[in-house]
Amino acid sequence: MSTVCFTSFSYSYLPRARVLAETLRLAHPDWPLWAVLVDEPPPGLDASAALAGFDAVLAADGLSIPRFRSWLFKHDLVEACTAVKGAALLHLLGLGFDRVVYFDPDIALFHPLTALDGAYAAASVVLTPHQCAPNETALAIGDNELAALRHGVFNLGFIAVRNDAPGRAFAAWWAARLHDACYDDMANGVFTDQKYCDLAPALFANVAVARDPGWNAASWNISRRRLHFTSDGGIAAGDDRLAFYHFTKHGGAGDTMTERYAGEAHVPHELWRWYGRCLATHAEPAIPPGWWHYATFSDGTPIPRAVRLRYRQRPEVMRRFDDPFANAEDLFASLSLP
Amino acid sequence: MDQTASGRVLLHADNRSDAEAGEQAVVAASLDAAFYLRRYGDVREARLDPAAHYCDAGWREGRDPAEWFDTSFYLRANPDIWAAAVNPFWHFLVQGCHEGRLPQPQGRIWRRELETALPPAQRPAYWSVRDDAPPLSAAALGGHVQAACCGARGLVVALSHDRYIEVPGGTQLLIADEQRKFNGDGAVYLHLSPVAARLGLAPPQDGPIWLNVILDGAMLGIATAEDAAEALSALPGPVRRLLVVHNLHGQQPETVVSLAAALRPSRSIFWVHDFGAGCGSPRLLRNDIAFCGAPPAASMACRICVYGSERAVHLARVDALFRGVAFDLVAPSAIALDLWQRAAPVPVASVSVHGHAALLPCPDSTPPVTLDRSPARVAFVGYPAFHKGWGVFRELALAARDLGNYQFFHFASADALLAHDGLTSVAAETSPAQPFGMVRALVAWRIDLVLALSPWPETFGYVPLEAIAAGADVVTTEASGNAAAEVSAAGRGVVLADDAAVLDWFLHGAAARHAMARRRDPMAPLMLRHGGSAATLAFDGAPVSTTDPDLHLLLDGVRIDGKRALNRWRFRLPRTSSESRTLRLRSRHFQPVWDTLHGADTRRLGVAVTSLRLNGKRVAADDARRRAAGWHPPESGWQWTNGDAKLCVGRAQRLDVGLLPLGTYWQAPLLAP
Repeated sequence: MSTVCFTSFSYSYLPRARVLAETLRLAHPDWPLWAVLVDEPPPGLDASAALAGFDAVLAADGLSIPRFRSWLFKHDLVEACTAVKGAALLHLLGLGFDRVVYFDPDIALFHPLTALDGAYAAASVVLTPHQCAPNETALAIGDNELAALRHGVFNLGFIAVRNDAPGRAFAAWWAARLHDACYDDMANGVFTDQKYCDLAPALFANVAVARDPGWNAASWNISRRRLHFTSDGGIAAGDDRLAFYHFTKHGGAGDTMTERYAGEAHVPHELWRWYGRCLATHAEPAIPPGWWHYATFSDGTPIPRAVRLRYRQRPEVMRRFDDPFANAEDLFASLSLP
Repeated sequence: MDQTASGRVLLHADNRSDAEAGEQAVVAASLDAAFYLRRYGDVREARLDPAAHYCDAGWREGRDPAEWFDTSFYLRANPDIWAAAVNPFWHFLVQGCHEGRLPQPQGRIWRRELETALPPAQRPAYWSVRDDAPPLSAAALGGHVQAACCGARGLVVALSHDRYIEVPGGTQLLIADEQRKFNGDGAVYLHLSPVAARLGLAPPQDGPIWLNVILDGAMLGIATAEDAAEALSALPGPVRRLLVVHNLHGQQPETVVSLAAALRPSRSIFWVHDFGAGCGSPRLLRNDIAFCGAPPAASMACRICVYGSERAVHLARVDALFRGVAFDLVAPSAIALDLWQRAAPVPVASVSVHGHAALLPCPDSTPPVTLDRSPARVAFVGYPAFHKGWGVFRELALAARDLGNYQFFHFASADALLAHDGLTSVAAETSPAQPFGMVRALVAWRIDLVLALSPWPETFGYVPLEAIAAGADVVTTEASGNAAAEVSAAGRGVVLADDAAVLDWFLHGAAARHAMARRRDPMAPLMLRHGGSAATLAFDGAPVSTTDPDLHLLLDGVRIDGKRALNRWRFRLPRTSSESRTLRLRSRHFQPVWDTLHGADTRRLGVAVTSLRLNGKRVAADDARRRAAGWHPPESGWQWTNGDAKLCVGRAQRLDVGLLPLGTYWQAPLLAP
C-alpha cells in the first residue's frame, strides 16, 4: 500500500516541519512527506534549499482553489494553514496514493505507527481523540475535557484517510467545509477543521477512533498517559510504543500546560527540552520572526483580524476582489472601514 | 486543539474587596513565618508581620511564603492568576489547591539537572595549569623518567582525568593509593592527566592535548601527548612496564593508543570506575537525570538525550582504542563489569573483578548496646550532588524535619558543606592522611542511618562500606548498583525499591523504628580494609605481600645487590677516593598499617634498620651526616627508612645492614617477571 504524508505550514513553522520530516523519515523511511506551503518565502531565503528535507512541495495557490487570493484573505495564519488541508488531501488522493496521512508540523514521530497497518488497516478514516481517559481534577477537566468540547473531540493534528469510497467521501465533505468556513468561530460551533470532524464517525462509514495512548500524546492528555522509557531504549506511553507526540505551542502556552500536566514524571519534560534543542538545530536565520507573507497587504500594511472577519461576512465584497491584498484603500472603503 | 493556559479564575480581582479582610488571615494560617523571617532579613530587621508583609508587598516582589510555595512559578504557570493580579498564595489556598494547580515546579529533585544538561561538545573544558608546572620537552621528560627508572622494578604509566595529588575524591584517593603501593614495590609511577579537564573525551580536532605530568606523586610539569609518547618510546632497558587507564575523561583515545605503542606495556589495565567508555554520560544518566541502562546508541532514549548525538562517534573512538590496545578490563564489582560491557561492547583481553575495599571481621570489639531514645540520626555522606542522591535527601530532610523522630546530618569536606535549615553540617573527609576520617566522624556523631541514594549504579560504593564500618545501617535503593549489593551482603541496612519508597519508609516512621531496634541490638563492628587497585591486582592468584624487602643499593645509577643471611645484608662497595660518596638504600615498603582502621601511622615506611655498619664500624642512629635523608626518627632499637634513604658511605667498601624481621612488604603481582 502506497502511503503519502503531508503537512501544512508557513515559513515561520519551518523548523517544526523540519523536525517532523526528520523524525518521520526515521520512523517510516518509505513514507514520502509533502510540504504544503501557505506562504511565500521571505526575501533572502533560498526556498529550495530551505525545503530540501521534504519529498515534494505543494504551494497552496497551486491546489486548485478558485480565486485563491480572494479566498485566502478570509483567514488568519492558523485558519489558512488549516483550511488548505482538505484541498491538499483531495489532491493527494487524486494522485492515486492508497493512503494519505496528515501530520501537524509540530508533531514528531518516535516509533512507527504499526497499528495503521494492523488494527486500523481496514479503516477508511482514522482520527485521534484529544482525550482517551477521563480527567480527575477540576483544572484538568476545564483545560482538557471542556476545551475538547469547544475545540473538537478529535485532534486534527493527525488524520489518515484511505483512498476508498468512504475515505474519498469524507475527504470531499471535509474539503468543502474547510473551503467554506475554516474559522476560529466557536460562538457558531466552528473551530477551524476540528469541530467538523466530531460529525465524521456519524456521517461516514468505516471511521476508526484510535485510542492508542502512543498516538498523538500531548500536553492535553499526558495527565492520563504515563510516558516512560523501556529497557531497550524505546519510549512508551502506557503499554503502547510512543508513535508520535504533539508539541503544541512549544515556547508558549504549551510550556505551561506541560508543567501543569506532566506531574512528577520527567519524561514529558525530557521530550519537551529535546524538541527545543531540535528547533534550535533546525532554525532558519533568514526567516524573520513571525513571518507570514499573507499577514500584510501588498504595501506592507498589517491586516487586522477585524478586517478579515468583516471581509468574510460580506460575500459581495469577496466576489469583487480577486486580490484583496493588492489595494487596502479600496477594500477598506468597500467594507466601510475607516 | 487550542488548549489555552487560561484556566478559570472564579475569584476575580473585583471580588477582592469582599475577600480582602480574610485574605491576610488565610495567608497567615499557612505562611511559614520562621522561614519567611529567616530568608528575608529586611522583613526581620524591620520587625514586620510576615503575613501582612507578604499580602501587602511580598508576593508582588516575588517572595515565597513557605519553602513549598514558589510565588514566581505560580504566577508564571497560571497566566490567569497573573492577569487577575490576585495574591497567588491566597489563591492557591482557597481555590488553586482544589483545582489541582501546582504550588511549585514539578520534579524539584531533578529539574535543575535537566534544565542545565548540555551535550558534551557544548561544555567548555576547564583549563587548569599549575603555576609551578613547566612545559617539558620530550627529551626533558624522558630524562626525568629514565633517571627515576634507574634500578626500579618497573614503570607504571597511569592515566586519569585530573591531578590526583590535589583533587579530593574517591578515584583520586584510589590512584594515590595505587601509586604508593607500586612505589612500595619499587616501581616508578608516571601519571598523565589532561590539562584541559572535561567530562567525556577530548575532541580529536583539538590536536595533541597537553598533559599534567606527575612522577611518583610529585608534579613534574606539562607536556604534549606527542612529547610524552616520544619520551616513553625512548626509554631503554628491560624494565617491566604497565599501562593503567583509570578513565578517559579529557583524554583522546587516539593519543592513548600512541602512548601505549610508545610504552610497549606487558599489561594494559582499564579500570571501570564509571561508564564513560560507553557514553559521554559517565553515570549513564539520560539527560543527567535518569539512569538509562545503556541502550543501543541508535535507540530513542539516546536520540532524545543530550549525550545521544555524540554517542556513536564516542563509541567508535573507544572501540578503536580497545582494538589498538589489548586491555585487561578490571571492575570493582560484578555489577559494574556487566553494565560496562553492555555500555561499551568493545573487545578486551580479559575481564576480572577486583574490589577497592572490603569489610573484615573486627576481632576485639563488642557492639555497644544503647537504650538511647533520642531521634534517629540520619546522615548524607559526601559531595551534595544530584548523582549522589542529594536531592532526595534534601526532600526527605524537609518533609521529615517537623516529625521529631529524626535528626539530619551532612558529612563532607568543609568546602562541600551546604548550609540548610534543619541540617547539622559536619566537616569530615577521607584522605591519604586520614584514611578513616569519615568513619571516625560517623562514629563520633553516633550516626544510625546513612543514605546512599545514587540514581545510577555506583561501580563500587565506598560510602556504604564506611557507614557500615562506623556501625551505621545503610538505606539505599535498587538503583544504586553495587551499593545495594554491599548492603545486602553485609545485612546492614535496607534496599528499597526507589526514592518514593525511601521517603515513605522515613515519613511513616519505619526508619525510626529500624534505628531504635538497631540501637537495642547492634551488629558486631566490622573493619574496613582499603586499597584494591592495579597495584594489588593479580591475574594468577599471586600474593600482594612478600617477606623479601628487596633491599639493594643504588650507586651512580647502578643497582648493587647484597648477600643475605637471615635478617642481615652485606654489600660490597667499589673503591673510591671520595669521602662524601653517597648511595641510596632502597627497599620495598613495609605494608602500611593505615590499611586498617586500627592503625594511625600514615608514614611511608621502607625497612626498619636495626644496625648499620661501614667497614664493620657502627653508624650511630643519630649520625645525621651519614644518614643523610630518607630516615625517620630513631625508635627504640631500630630506625625506619622511607624505602629510598640516602646514606653517605664515603670510601667504605663494605656495608652491613640489619633489619627487624617484620615480615610483610608490598608486592605488586603485575610487576612480577
